[in-house]
Amino acid sequence: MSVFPTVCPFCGAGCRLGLRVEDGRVTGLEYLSDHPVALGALCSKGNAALEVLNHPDRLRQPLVREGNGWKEVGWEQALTMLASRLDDIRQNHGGPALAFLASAKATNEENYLFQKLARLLGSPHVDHCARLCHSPSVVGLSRAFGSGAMTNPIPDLAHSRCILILGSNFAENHPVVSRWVCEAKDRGGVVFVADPRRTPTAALADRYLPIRPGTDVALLNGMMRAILDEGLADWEFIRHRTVGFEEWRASLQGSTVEEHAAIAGVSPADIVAVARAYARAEASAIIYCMGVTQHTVGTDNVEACANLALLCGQIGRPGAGILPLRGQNNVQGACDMGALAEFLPGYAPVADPQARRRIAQAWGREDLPEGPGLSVVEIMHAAHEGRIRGMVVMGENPAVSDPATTETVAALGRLEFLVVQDLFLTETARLAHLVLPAACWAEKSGSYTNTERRVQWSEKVVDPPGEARPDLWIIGEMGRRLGVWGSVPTAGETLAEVARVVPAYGGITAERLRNTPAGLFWPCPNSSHPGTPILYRERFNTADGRGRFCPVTYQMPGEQPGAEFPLWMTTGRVTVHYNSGAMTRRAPSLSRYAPEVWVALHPQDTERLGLADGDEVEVRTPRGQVTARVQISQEVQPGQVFLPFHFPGVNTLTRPDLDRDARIPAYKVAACALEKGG
Amino acid sequence: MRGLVVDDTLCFGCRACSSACTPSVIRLREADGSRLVWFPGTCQEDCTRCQEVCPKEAISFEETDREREGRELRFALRHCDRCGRPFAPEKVLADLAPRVRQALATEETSWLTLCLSCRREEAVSGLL
Amino acid sequence: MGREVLLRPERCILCLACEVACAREHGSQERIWVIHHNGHGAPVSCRQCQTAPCVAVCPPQALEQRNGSVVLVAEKCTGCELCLWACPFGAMVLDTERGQAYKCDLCSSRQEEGLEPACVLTCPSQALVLNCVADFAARRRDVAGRAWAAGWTRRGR
Repeated sequence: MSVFPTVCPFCGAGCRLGLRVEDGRVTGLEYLSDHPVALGALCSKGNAALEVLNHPDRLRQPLVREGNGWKEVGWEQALTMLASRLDDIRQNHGGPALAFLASAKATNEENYLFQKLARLLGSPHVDHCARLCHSPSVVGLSRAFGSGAMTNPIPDLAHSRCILILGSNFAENHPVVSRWVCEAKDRGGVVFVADPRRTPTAALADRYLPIRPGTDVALLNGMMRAILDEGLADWEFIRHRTVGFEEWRASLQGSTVEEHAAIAGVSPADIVAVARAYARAEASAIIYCMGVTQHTVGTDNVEACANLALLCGQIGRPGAGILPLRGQNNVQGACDMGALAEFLPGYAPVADPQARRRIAQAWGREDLPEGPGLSVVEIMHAAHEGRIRGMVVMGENPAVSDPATTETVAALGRLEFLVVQDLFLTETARLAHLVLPAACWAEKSGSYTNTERRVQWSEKVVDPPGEARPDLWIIGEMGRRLGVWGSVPTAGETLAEVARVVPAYGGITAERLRNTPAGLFWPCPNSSHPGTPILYRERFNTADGRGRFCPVTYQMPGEQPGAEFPLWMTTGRVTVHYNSGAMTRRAPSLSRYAPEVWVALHPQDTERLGLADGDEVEVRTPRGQVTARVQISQEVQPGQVFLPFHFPGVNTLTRPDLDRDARIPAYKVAACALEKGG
Repeated sequence: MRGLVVDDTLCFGCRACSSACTPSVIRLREADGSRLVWFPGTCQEDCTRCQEVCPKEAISFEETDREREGRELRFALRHCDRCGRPFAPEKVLADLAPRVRQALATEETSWLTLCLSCRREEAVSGLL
Repeated sequence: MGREVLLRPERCILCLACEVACAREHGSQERIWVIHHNGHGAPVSCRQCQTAPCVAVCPPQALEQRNGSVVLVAEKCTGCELCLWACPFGAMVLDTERGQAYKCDLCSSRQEEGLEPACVLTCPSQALVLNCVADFAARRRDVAGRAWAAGWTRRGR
């Protein structure tokens, strides 16, 4: 019996997951201690991966909707139907009447081919769930640094002397990060956590700041005000490596630490303490996640983080950097591959004709559809209005994940043709006309790019069940039958094309990755380049090589508690579940801990409302209502409630209001009311 | 017939016999803060597992020419000092306590009157 | 000296990986439980006591000290439950279906393949370590001392 290394299919940490195989079946799981980030560790989800892999619900055959049920069909019939339906729409209404949702879970090769197909079919509307989580990082950090990715590897955190954790609950969602933060603490480092919710991550903090929802800019500007007041800025760094400092400093003129603190809901002393520690430490890192990005001011929040790093020269060195933790096993890769409405592969802007034509030529065309295309939430609006008539959804579950999902479900219902490729008959797949059974991570070969920009290869270990096929084959067949290309490429061939089209992947080939189990960090521009673990050591990725200060001022969240909806509502994740729950709600060893949705309330609120632990309540926002059981919790602050979004229905409550630049929905802040009863 | 005899001065309400009894002739249940163990008056199985495993040698067999009524022995369960839930028979705890104290060479065994969950919580709160 | 599963409680992030891994390795019967306490927490499992009350009270002597750990010989276990009540940590449990007690066995079947216990290998924050007490304590002293010194140096307090 042998153990085969794969890349874990869950979060963006990209841990190695060893699979024991006997007679063509995966029979066990093993810990592979030589992985540089995880050192063999696996979180609760990774440990339950086999329950997903071998689940009886796995789709095994293409399904065509028939009345209220499904009819199993063969691939030939399924693909013929798919090609003809998509082609009909394209011929009668044009390429832009089609939309494509790529997958943060599929391989780089699959995402690359998928967005290529979309654009060669004449549609600019290709996007995926990165829109809903880290699009502000892509946009905001690109503006500040020229590139939207995490700057330092996770193990590098051990070299940080000060770690500022904003709106990240990595203890639950990227558990292996904890080891490296603890290493930093063991070496005398200090850790701060700012989050409205006192999460398990806050338990690692030397000081925890319970900021008010939506006030990250106030906290960060308050810190920067204090740093300026005390002369703690890194003037050498500012002079030699940045631009825009004066204009940015003017935007903070006249404000005081006290004013910022009052908005953030923390004491000025706390802000000053964190600011001093961050500025003075030999190396400081900022870790941030959804608490920073999922707001109508998400891009502002990200830029404020970048400003802080530039102000103190805490970037471009070991232990000093900005770490946006990407959530899914390949969301970074899907973005790198251009599965985004405003970017082509390698973040070539769709709106830039020169960049667009360069890619077009690589694909044997003159030009590609102009853009930017519509983003995820906008695609659903357009579908509702009939402007989008056909949609291909690969490994995504918008019927559970989109904000204001009642509208999403209605929109998907209006499509003339919806095809979904997935492992399970998800809530989204149930709305489709055609469902295609896909292979999961262990059943296909390809590369994945984790949150650190580390590209790793995962080799196929077993065959998929029944007639399920890798997404690469499905997309390849789609393209072939729609006349876009002649044959289905292999993963290796696709990655070779990626290397020609995306400079940062220039030196990355399947062969090289197979021989480099620890993976390669992009940028890796050529075959002799060792990869780039730490970004911006010498220069930023901007045109002039300098980091850019972006003035941002605090703006109130667009929805606040009032008379009718008196409580703050936030949504988030818990450790045993993963995103829409399509995988984890099917894993008994995980779902046993959290089988159904709940709403967490502070004891002061439950007392005031006369609620007991376990009571059924209706949680209501302007967009909908959900039944949930009360969980009395010390994690939330009085006046705030929390719901895990892994269950269908929770996102019917959240807001579809979008960030102006990154078009991310404001999931983290809403106003709600709570009533007893079910 | 094989009569089953339980000496109720020796039996202290553990689970050995009911755990060992594969045909579930001896049955154990818990209700209303008590553990109730049902012993049949006669047993026609051909094993003596219950007798073998009993820590108190409280079970014996004797020939009898008539049916005998079974009997249910009742043992009060100790309520956990911390959460109040009933957990172990008082008689079992009373039997264990001196032996545990001797083994650990300590009189400090307040945890004996805590249920398993509360013992785990005490262990952790002591650590943190 | 025997290596046992030891805990650095400040590293426990309540992620439940140890419980899930243990359950998988032992037919859904985990022998480690993550206990929450005031926003922090830690896992509890058999402490492999050098003087074990469970060993002292077991009527069929199914529990024995072996190489620095406490081994439960399942074939001898009569399911009497006395060991459950004798354990100060609540680390012993009873499988009522099989009529036998069970506890952390340091993943004995993995040991046969030269592999470390699943909970130790899986712990994402390395809160659980496999070590002997003396070495573990020495390392804790080392880290604590250096962290304090580094803190003093940097913060100048």
